Amino acid sequence: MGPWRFLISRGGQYAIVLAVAISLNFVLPRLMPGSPLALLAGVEPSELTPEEREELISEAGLDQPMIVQYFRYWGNVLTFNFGTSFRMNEAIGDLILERLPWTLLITMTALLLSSLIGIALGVLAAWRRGRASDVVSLNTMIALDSTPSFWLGMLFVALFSVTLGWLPSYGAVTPGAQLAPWDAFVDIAAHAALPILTLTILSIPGIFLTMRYSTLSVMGEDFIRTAQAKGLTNTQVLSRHVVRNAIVPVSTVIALRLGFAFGGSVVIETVFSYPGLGRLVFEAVSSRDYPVMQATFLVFTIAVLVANILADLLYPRLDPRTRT
Amino acid sequence: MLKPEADVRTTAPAADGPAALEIRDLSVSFRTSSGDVDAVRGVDITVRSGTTHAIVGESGSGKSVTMMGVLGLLPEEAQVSGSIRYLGKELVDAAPAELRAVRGAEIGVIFQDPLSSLNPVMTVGAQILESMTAHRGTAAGATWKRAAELLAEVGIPEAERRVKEYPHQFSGGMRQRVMIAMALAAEPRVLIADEATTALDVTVQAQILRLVQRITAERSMTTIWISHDLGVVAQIADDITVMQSGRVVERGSCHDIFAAPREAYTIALLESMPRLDAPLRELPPRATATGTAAVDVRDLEVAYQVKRGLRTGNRLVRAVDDVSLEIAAGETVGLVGESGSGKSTFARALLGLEPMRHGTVHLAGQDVAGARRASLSALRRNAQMVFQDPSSSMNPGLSVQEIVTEPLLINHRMSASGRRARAAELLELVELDPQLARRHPHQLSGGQRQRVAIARALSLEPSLLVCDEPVSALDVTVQTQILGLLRRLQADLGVSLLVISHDLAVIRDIAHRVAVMYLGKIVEVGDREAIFGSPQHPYTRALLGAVPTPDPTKRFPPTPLQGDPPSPLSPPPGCRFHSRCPAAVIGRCDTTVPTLTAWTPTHDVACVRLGEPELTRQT
Ligand SMILES: Nc1ncnc2c1ncn2[C@@H]1O[C@H](COP(=O)(O)OP(=O)(O)OP(=O)(O)O)[C@@H](O)[C@H]1O
Ligand code: SF4
Ligand SMILES: [Mg+2]
Repeated sequence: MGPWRFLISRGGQYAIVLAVAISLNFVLPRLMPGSPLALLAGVEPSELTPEEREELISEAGLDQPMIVQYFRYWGNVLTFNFGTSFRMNEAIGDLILERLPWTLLITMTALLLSSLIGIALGVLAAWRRGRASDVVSLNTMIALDSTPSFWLGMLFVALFSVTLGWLPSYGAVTPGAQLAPWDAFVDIAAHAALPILTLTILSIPGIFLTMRYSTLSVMGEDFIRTAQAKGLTNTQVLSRHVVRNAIVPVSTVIALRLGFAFGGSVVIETVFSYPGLGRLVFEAVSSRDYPVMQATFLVFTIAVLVANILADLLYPRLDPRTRT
Repeated sequence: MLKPEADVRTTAPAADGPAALEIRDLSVSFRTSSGDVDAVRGVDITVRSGTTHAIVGESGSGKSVTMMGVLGLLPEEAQVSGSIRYLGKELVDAAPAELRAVRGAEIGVIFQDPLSSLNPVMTVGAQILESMTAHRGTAAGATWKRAAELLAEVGIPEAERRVKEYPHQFSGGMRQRVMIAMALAAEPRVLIADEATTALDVTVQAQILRLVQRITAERSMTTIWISHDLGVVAQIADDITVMQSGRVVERGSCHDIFAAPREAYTIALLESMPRLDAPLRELPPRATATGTAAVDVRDLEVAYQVKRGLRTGNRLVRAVDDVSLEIAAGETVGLVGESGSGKSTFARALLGLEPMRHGTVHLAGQDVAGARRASLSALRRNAQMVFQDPSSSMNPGLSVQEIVTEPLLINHRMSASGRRARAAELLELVELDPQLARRHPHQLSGGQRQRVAIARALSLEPSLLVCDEPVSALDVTVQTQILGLLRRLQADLGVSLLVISHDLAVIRDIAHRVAVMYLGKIVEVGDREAIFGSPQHPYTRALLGAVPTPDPTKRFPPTPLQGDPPSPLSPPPGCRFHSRCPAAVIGRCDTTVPTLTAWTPTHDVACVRLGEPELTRQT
């Protein structure tokens, strides 16, 4: 079955998951205690006069029957119309589109780098299992795995920005600067460097540990003995047989991380005041900007779903036994 | 169609040719946390060029370690001393590059389990190609075309297409053919086969043996055949080396060793091997009274929903399809058939462990399906099971005494002291030293563990013992002892036995009656004299014909059964055997479903051509 037929046949399932997530997003604020006005319109009803309240309720459509509200909500979602942020007074759809590229830049770069590094180190450690280099890297990774991200981020700010002065410590670009294309690129890269570094270092251990373990178990398989008995060199055995099989379970870990990368960006973007989606969530939470929180929640859900679709497409390519 | 492997080499090889491989005083020991293990101790083996040299011996005797030593593929913790010369070149302590030049290019290997020995994520063609390019570079004819030619040469139909497929898309026998093609790809002069047919069904084993013989003869190759199966060895070997606990105990030509073994160990090996040409063994008498049968199965159907990957729907597999069978009190029925024929499913259904779609099962007159939960467990107490691998069905944390009396504890029978006394009794019953009661499973040998499993099964005094491949994991000498024990228990206790085995010689040694299964159906059932003496069904005949006789003077007739058993997912219509049956008549066999018909009062056969004189001639 080709990827397209696969998407079509599985598309129904994805669509159902998405519809449930979107509907939950509609139901949850209405199930919470207190007036949904607080959640949907961003004001405490007690602070308003009855007239103002009436007006807001009808403006938000809260006086309509539930089913009408539900369909209107769907209409909004499909047209990417999430209303206006109270605090920033800006259309939420635009806000998200504005922030999304920055988050994509740092999370995807970090995921790519940590996957490459984690996989390479994992294979090396497994190949040299039990020796000093394996033991040292294993313990380092286990220690790193339990390091809090804000702590590492702040450490890097203190080291690279404050002490050494090499890299900017906040924002995504130098404010107000008019730069030539190349200089603008350098500026963006310099600002993204520390968030990317922190994210990368923190996601290496999970990938490293999975890759090391899966490499070790593949090395014990009978077909590795077969490969050696063919007269292949160690490098050939490693690259064609060991890594190619060991990567299969790791791909699941990477896909999972892809899905949750946005969620993981909240702390990092806050530490580095990086203007991405994660920082947007932080701002929305601290100012109780519920509509923004709701919309970003939806984006995060979609990200998880997209990562799952990618994994579903990728898996049969990596492991032919899962094809039919 | 498959190429028949008719042209078997029967002539003796050139006497005293130069040695392909000379192993002198080889010792291998492994450093382990619990001290050194001396796996091989001073072994001398000379393999003459162009011959088939068999290395036999029981499990752990050092056969595989010796051959891995030849290839320089022992694990790091192995310490090797002595000398291994391949065509005069020393391999012990040779440089890695020199060893690599020998592996594959000079010495090719095939292993026991072809599925786990092939890389699951590479196409078979790519794996064959890799063997070629490893030694000859990409230029010298290492092409997909050549890979496909090799596949065709080892008897894989539609090789052009299948070269692009992955190992899991092949059946067990086809995978072993792929392994052989791969081992031949770099045109080595020596082929090492380590238990290469042990995991295969007997009919497929016969095909692979023939294939290896044809190919090695065509290419004048030297073959080293490692096996614990003396039947196989008798069929193909020129010379034999017998190993025991890391030492060579006897060596000589195949004919000499089978005709006049000198060492006690070799004699014991040959004597304990169950064989089809031995006189029939005396069995305990069956109950003569026409009381209720221990087991009465009618029209049983067991089917599974099979998931076929995430993206396709489920399908129904009839693992047992319309099977009827009776076992009298004190009788042993043997159930034989190739893997996937539904033997184990049938056994589990007897104990009410499988959902029945259709039919009835009565144990000692009681309906298993009709029983409520409470009485079902009472029924199950009446029928106990013994498995192939006893250790996987035992809690490793319990002592032998606790394992043996576990069923008593679960059923709240007896006090602690009563159970201790019963444990001693049970151990005595299965001829185990009572001293072993305090040991744990890992401190026992395979044979001792199987005795413990039997003792446990007997603790509730069942009337039926279901033994699923009870001796397959054991060495022949231990096999004989366990079979003897089962016969004695039956004589003493009057228990009925259902013994499942893929090994016909084992069944012949223990069963009063034999049922032959093929793809979920019983195709022939009758007294053992009838089944082994005058088998009627073409499948039974093929099975019996494929069993290697441990006698080098009686080598195979030239036509073993072709092909692999079809997938139970899509059994052929009509007679399920017609796709492989040498006597099949298209138009009849593929349209009519044969039913079991009485051939004699104690012998039923399911074949539409039963009784036709032609049938006997063609099979
Ligand atoms: N890596 C290892 N470390 C420790 N002991 C080992 C190792 N590999 C093999 N042995 C031991 O070496 C001995 C010989 O093993 P080997 O595999 O050669 O037996 P075999 O004759 O091939 O048996 P089988 O018929 O079961 O394949 C056994 O006692 C085994 O436990
Ligand atoms: S019915 Fe036909 S195909 Fe089946 S066993 Fe008899 S002769 Fe062979
Ligand atoms: Mg072995």
